[in-house]
Amino acid sequence: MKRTYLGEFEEIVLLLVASLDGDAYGVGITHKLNEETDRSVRLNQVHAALHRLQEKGMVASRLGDPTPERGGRRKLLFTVTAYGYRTLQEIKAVRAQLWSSVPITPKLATGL
Amino acid sequence: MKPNSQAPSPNRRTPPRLADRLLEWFVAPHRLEALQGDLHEEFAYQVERVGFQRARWHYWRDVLGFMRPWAMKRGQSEYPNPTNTDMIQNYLKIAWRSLTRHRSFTSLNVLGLSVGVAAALLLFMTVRYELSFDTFHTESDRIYRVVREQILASGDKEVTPGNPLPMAAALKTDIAQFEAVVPVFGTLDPQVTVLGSDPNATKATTKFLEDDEGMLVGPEFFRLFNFPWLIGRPDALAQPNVIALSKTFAEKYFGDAQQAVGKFLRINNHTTMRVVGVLADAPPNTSFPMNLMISYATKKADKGERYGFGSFEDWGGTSSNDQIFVRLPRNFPVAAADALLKKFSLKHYDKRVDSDQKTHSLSPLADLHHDNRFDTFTNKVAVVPLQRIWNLAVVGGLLLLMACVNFVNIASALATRRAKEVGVRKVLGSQKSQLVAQFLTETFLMVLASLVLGVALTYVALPLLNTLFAVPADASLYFNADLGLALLGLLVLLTLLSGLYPALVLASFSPLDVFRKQIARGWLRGISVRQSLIVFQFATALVLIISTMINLRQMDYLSRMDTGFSKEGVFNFSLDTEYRTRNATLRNELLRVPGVAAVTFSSDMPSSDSRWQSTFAFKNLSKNEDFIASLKMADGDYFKTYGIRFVAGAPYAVGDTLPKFVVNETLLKKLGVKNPATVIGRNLRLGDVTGPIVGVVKDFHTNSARDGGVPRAGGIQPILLTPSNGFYYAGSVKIRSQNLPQTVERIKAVYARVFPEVAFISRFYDEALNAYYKAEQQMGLLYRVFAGLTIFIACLGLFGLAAFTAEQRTKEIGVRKVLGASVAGIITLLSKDFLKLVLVAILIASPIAWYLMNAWLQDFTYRIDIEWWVFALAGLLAVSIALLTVSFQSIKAALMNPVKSLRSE
Repeated sequence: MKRTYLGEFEEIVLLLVASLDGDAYGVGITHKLNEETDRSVRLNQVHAALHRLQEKGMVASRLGDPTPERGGRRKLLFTVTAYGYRTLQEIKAVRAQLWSSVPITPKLATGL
Repeated sequence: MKPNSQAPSPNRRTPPRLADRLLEWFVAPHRLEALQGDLHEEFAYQVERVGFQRARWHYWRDVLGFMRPWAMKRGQSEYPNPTNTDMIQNYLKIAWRSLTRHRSFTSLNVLGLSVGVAAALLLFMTVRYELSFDTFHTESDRIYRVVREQILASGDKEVTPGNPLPMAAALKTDIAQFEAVVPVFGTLDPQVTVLGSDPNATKATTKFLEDDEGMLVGPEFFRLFNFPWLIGRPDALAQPNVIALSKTFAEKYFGDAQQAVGKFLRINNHTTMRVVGVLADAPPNTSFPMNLMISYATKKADKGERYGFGSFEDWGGTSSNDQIFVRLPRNFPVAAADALLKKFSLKHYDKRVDSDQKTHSLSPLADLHHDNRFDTFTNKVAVVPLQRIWNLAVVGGLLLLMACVNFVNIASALATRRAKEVGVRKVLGSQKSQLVAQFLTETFLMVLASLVLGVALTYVALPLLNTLFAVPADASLYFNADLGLALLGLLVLLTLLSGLYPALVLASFSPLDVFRKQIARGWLRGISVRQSLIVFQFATALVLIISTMINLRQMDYLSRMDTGFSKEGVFNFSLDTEYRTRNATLRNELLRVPGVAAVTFSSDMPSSDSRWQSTFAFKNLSKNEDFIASLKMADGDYFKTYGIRFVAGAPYAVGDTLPKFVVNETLLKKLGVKNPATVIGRNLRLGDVTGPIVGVVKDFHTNSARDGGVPRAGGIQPILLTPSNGFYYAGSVKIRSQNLPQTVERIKAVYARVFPEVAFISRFYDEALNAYYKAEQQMGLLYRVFAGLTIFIACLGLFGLAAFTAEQRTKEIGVRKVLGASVAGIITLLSKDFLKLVLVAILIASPIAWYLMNAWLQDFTYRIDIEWWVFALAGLLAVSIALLTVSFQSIKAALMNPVKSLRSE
């Protein structure tokens, strides 16, 4: 299995970039992530993850429009690349395959 | 949830500015806009959610969160830098690698250089200090001392810093061009009695004898020289019998500077003075003793000649105590001023006093510290001739140069090892200039390390400066911004000096030759340069060693010299002429002390620096002889006390006060008298006193053996001895006792009983004499220390080269050993080349050292001959040190197992 390793956090950020479909940027992703996953993630962590994803070639960035609460600064908008999208699908497929072999009522560890 | 019910005003809603600044500073510019935008948006959101204050905390936390390498790393600019910086990085990397690879050679170089730098820095600091004397006065280069040259009837020239007393006033009226004319009298060497608030106190017991202190100056002195007053104003010195003290002296006398003003002191038991001011302590680099400043008006008001002899109407006599300082207008040429003074001299001296020609001229203020023909105000600060200062600078420069030479030698020897690197670089397109830059970078690193180490060494060795040159060891005097600048200059200079030649040699290798393993051409040239550099180093070291040996021998000679008088067990103390009526009592009391063999009172000791001189008449009592005789006033027991032998006649009686004379052989020789017995009983006139010659003494040394090259000192001076009660400043006691301390204690007790008013100051003759040779001893010490350093540095270089050669010839030695060479044979083989160089160095150094030391010895009246064995000994020393250095390496190489050295192919 030869694919770039993707950490759990990176995977979630990449998924969010994909789901926001072209409107993904630092603050947006952070807020959405905190809402959906009930974590408290900070802006710099998300940016670091985005930076790593871009290094791996899974997201691309472009500058968007300025807004007043940003002091007239432009957003850095992220989009998933084809490679990133394929990676997400592969991960999903692997998981699905693994799930398919999990019995409906698995033996769970007890006590001790 | 908001912290306040009021809506925050728009400008209060901005994120913390400091955090923003921080962000702008560390985040890479190409990321800043997006990141800052995100942060601000988040901040606006957080203000709504948790309130302004907590949003600010969040903001700080987020900003600090971005302090990560990925956010900080600057992006590639659209127009990238030329490759220069990359190449420099590469140079540094390669430099570091090659320096660490040749660790031992690197440390040899750094060690040699840093020792050289430290020694040179110490010397240069001394030079700077010595050159800084009295430069802190406003426009000190416009201040001059008026000096006088006198051409005697005999044709001899005499110079003196002394001026006749009426001269200051005459200068003010005659030469309007001088901006200031300041007469100064110094020094009084007074005994100071602290009276406190009562000017008539009689029971005061606090007494101080102040050697080399006590200047008489007017208020104008302080307009010429920058010596600030802490309390009071210089104008107060316009009236007679007032005194200003330095802070130190005020505290010494009265405990506190504030208390001193208005109190009273008595000077020499004759004048009561009121303290009118306190001066800040003078810096150490001044030739003026600034502790006791008596008003010049005191001298003018004094009728008893208690503040120097002569009157303000008399143009005849001068004393070197009376000096005059003037300030020239801006851009006024000294030659013009000298011409004015010449006219002035003609007007005032012509035919007025005698047939001698006297001409005044100006001598720069700086020469107060450098011109040893002229007396200064204090012996506590030695006069240092410029020549000696430049000698120090030269020695410092030589040390640096020798350290550089080491570097050049080792670096060019190592060059062969890097030939391949140079070849590859050239093939890949390196320019020669780039290669030179690369090797200079390496040198630069090494020099930098050495400088840092050298400065640290200097700092540690600073107290040495004090012992070697009597220079204050106060670090803050030397470690200042100027030093930083000098070090920067030194960094560049040393880098170029030691790096340029090896760099050029390396850069000139032809890649073709290198890859065909034929680099010999560049090499051969290198060998001859290296050899001549070693010769240079050893020659320098040898010159210093020989000089040191001759210096030591001369000092030894002086200390054993037969002076013509006996000084063992002679104990001296000062006398106050004010109380001379009690001298007879003192003599009788002293003679009763057990162990005292003889007592004498005199103007000074047989050989001392104080000189009384006069013309006299002998052949024709109405006409002075054409040479000057030195005078010593002494009672009849002088000869017995000092063991001075008579060749004719006998001493005058102890109690004799009638004019009688004893002369020395030199005086008779000058007069052309062959048989000393013929002069006994003949009359001699000294000034207006006429008396018979009663005795002729064998010559004894009249002055310290070195007289600073003053013409008047040519050998032993003609001397006249005569009794004169008013001039007895010194008492001497010959002690013949097993228990010296006890006898000295008894003498002190007797003195205190006879002269309760006078403080007792005393020392043994040997101690007094040693002070004269202190300057020479300091120079001897200097030579020894730095001769040692040069030989050390030279040996470091030799050691490095020997190590290199031994390594280079490992294989050859292996083959030789296999073929049956003996260990001794191999050691000889390896040492021979170096020894040849040292022998050449001896040949070069010997004549140079001979020339230099011969010139130095000319300054001494009594001197040793320079003997051949000194050179032989120095040569032997150099050869054995060199042999020792080299043999360590050659023995190591010779003992190596040939299997090891031959197997490594």
